[in-house]
Amino acid sequence: MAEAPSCSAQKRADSFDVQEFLDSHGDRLLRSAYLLCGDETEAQDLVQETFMQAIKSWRRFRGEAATYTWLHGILRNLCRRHQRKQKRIVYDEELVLKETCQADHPSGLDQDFCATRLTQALRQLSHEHREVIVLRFYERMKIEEIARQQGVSSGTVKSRLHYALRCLGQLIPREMNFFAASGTHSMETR
Amino acid sequence: MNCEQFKDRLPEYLDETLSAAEQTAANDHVQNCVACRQALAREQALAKSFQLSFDRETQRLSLGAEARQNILKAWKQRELRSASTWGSVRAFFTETPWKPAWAGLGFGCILLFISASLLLQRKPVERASLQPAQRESADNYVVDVPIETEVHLYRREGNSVVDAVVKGATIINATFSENPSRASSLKRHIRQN
Repeated sequence: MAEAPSCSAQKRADSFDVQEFLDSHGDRLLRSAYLLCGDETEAQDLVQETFMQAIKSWRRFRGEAATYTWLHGILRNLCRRHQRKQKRIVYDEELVLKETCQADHPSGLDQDFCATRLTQALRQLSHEHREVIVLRFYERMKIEEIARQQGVSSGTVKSRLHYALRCLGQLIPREMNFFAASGTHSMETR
Repeated sequence: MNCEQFKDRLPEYLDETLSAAEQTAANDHVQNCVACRQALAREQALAKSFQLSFDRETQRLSLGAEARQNILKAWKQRELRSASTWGSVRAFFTETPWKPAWAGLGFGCILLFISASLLLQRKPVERASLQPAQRESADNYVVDVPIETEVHLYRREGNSVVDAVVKGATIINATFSENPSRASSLKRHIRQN
């Protein structure tokens, strides 16, 4: 993410070490893909497809953003397409997932369990709301950057973020304490 | 800055993307307002717990060896392709970064084609109008203008010029009593029409 943009595609191609990039950013891209699509196998395929598309259209990369940001943009487009395909066939699976998520949790709320519940709840959000949560809290992007990436205004990003957090607040049990740092529900105070 | 304005700008305040004046106003407000300080703490805690949870949930994942190999293979093939001449030519046309440049080039070609056809259409008229005026007598001049489809006969009546069209002929003889400079002005008239 910290690469400086270089001047021409050919120069970039010559200096770009794909092996090194895979070592440094491959896993991170995969994890982001997993959070976006919710399935490990799909995430592997999506990352591979992302790289294939990037290799094909390498000359189109103008170097205005870091290579990781560019690849992440391709990944998000692929995830969106994948999501649209999935929507047509897995309504029942969504129902099952919802039921699983609402099932009783073990009494000892360890952090792993909380993390899993959060990821499960994330899957129930619409793609654009999930995307904004991943970009904000996993990719640690600023509101302005997310707006630029998604091609919307900062206000829209904040509104999506607010709505997504409110949905997550409803999906995650209060005992998990995600939204209650000082005993008050974060979203209720807004 | 009041509480509502602060809460509205809270994400930008955390991002430090507010203007210098707004950042100072927000700092002043948060120092004096307990509720906003709590809201800020909640927002920071939420971000931190989300980050930790996502990291915890995904840390076991790593890119599979097969996917890595496929990616490396595709990259190597791309390098080989761009090393060959034909590959470079093909890559230039298929991977050009500026699609608008190609659109502009196409548009330019169309404009060039239209201008060329217009120029070609005007050519016979211009050639015709370049025929020299011939002195018939002391005051009369004859202008021969070959036009394939129609014939313009210009005849002077008093101070005005009357235009008569006769189809099927190829030569006109416009005879009028004028001096050579007026004759050339008539030629210009023919060219314009």
